[in-house]
Amino acid sequence: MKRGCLVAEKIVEVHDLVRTYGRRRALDGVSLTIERGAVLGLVGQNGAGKTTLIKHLLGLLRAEKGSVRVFGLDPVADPPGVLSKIGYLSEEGDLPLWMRVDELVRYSAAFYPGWDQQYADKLQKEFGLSSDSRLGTLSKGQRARAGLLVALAFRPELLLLDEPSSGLDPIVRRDILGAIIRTIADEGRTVLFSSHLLSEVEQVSDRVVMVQAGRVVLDDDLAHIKETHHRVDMVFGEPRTDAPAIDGAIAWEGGGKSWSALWLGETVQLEAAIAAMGGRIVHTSGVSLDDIFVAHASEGAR
Amino acid sequence: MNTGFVVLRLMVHRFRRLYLVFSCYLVGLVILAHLPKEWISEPIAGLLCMPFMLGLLTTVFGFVSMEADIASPSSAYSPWMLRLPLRTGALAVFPMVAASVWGAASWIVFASCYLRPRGIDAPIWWPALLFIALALSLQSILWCPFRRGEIRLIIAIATTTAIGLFGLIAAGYDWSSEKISLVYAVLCVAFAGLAWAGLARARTSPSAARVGPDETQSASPQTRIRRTKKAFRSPRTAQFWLEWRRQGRLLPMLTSFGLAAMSLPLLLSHETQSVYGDESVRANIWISIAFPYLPWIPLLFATVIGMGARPADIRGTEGVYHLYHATRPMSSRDMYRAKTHAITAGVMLTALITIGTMLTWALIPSGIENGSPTSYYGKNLATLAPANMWLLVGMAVALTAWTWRNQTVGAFVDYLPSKNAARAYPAVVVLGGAAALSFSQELRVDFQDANSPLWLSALFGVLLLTKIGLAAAFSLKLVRLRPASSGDLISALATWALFAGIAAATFGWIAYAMPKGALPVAFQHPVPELFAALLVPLARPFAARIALECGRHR
Repeated sequence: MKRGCLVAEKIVEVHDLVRTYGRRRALDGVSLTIERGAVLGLVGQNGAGKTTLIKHLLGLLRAEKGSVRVFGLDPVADPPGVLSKIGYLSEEGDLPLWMRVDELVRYSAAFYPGWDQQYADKLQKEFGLSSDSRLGTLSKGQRARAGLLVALAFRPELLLLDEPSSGLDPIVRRDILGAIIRTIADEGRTVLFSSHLLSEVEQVSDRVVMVQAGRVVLDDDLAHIKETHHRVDMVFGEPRTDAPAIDGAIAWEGGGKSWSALWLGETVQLEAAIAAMGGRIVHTSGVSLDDIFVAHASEGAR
Repeated sequence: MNTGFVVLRLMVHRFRRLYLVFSCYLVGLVILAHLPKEWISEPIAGLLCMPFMLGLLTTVFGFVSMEADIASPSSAYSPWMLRLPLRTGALAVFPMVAASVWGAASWIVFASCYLRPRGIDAPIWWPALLFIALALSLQSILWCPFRRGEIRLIIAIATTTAIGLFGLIAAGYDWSSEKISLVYAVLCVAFAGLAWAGLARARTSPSAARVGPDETQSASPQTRIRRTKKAFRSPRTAQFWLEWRRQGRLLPMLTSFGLAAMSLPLLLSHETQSVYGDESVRANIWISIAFPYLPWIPLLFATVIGMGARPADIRGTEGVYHLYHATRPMSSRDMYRAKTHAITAGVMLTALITIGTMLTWALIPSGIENGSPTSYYGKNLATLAPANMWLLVGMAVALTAWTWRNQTVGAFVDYLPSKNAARAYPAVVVLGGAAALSFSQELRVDFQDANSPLWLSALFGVLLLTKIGLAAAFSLKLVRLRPASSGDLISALATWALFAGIAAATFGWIAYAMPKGALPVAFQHPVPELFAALLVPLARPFAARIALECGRHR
């Protein structure tokens, strides 16, 4: 899915970003770069710091420590320069509910020189949004579609989606995913997609960043993540009360003689370690992003 | 009974501290009323009454359990409470009884234990019933879902105003207390029934329980796509449109409503005078009574709007802006400019509406002289010397500028990220103003005293320096928040100096041109000039920019 670029232009550069709310560190030294054309899935538990990170990219939060550059600009110092290139859709929606759909489209269009009215009309028709409908009277799903329309109609260089499909029905979720895929199809567009629905992230992302308690715990290509994570089933000669302590095992399940590990890396090392403990590997398989997420989240919690 | 207490506890939980504070306030008043009268002067005693209405209304609102905007179509009753496994009667009756008892008891304590011991012969029973009717009317209007929220808003304003005014007017026409009480008692019964029915409707109406619109609504095959209006020329014009819709048009709308309400008695207040035998002429006496008040209506509404009477939709949950507004690709400076331009357009339109209304009024016969009807214009304006006519024009300009100023200084309330701070601002301004007024009465300030220009100049000078100092502090903070904007600050200061100069010259000229004795002795130069410079906004526009910066980039 990732398209090749001769010179990878950095669209987002976050360096050692720190943000605290009272005593709690919402972001703790986060560093991240996103190159043009990348589709990055941002995953993490509730309160992990995903929304805080996205708000920094939008300039809604000032960096307490560290730096944030989007298109090479500081989003706090130059909001028009940055925001005019970003299409943003959040879980909250936050559209002005007193506006009608046509008013929202007309108002939003004024801010983006690249607004494509034909595309806006096409999306509006596709989403079934009547011009004279007041946003306050629309259902949550229809409001999300209206938000998606204004986030996409100017063909943004960077599309930021913060839990956009949270609490929405499968049809609206399909629309949102479809929009991401179409944006990706536009050469050079970049997408940052934060979601709890890892199956969706898996569908569209070519790189995944996992945030845990304000820190980046995993940042890699999706394909590489899936290649390097394995589920390994094993049996031991004697029953065990505790899971074996082996470096590289992210999570353990099981009991007695039968154990299962979520293993990061080559299984050859694990095989030797298990053999030394009087056991043997019986089965090795791939794992879903869901399992990897849960394993890393549990590891972080420990 | 237990159920009732649970419902009430759930309802008033949010305001529990307020009930405590208001109760303490009432107890404090009762204690003060029993202290020797000379310990508390009349102005201070009057000032202490001010929080009563504010506190009473706020606490009564607690029994409404208002969880929706008054202008929204949904029922304001907590949606999750509507879904409690209780009878509608239980949900309705206990809050109605509690609101009635609270409203009536508060007044009875206030009137009998504070006002009467202070020598004010306040009526007890009909105002108590008035507050019960007010509480029940609010419950009936706010609990019932409406097809259109705006209608609810209009009905709420009209009903509560009518309830409040009825007692005052009836008492003015010497109706007996029993008769007024009877009318209020009937109203109470009617509103109680409506409140119950409204709540029952809220529980059964699918759109009522703040679930909002039909969640199953999906793409309609009959989608209507309309594009009749031209695109905006620039982000600034789009933002101007937004601000005009949100705030700019509010002043002309309210003023038109106010002027229309003031014009209604024109239909009734006629005086007929016999001239010769059966011949008689009719004139409208209301004009001569109400005409001088007309130019103050826009100022009154602008002050109310400027204090943040309309909740800002840029502000979402506490301390956070709505993301759509906050992420407009536009500088905070341009956002603020658009708001100021919308306010200016609204004030100019309001001035035209007011002048048009006044001219119309001025041409209607309003008095009878030598057996002929005369208009306000013919009697008072046509005979004015040109210099005095120019003076009137100057006063109209000054009043328009003042109206603009009172709305503009409130822009920062609109931008405050904190809802609580925005709510506190009007209370602080009103109570602070009332306190200043009371203390000036307490000190027996004499504006006819020969020394008054001197000390008034000194006072205004200090205030002006304070204003400039505050503006300097705010501008430094703004430069820290947005380092690139120091040029804007210099241009803002230069603009202020220019407008302060124009305002000072206008006020100075008005003071000079006024007939001798028309103004108190205190208003000698440079008092009007300093007062004018004080009126021109300086610190609060900077505060608005800071609020906007802090709200957008926390």
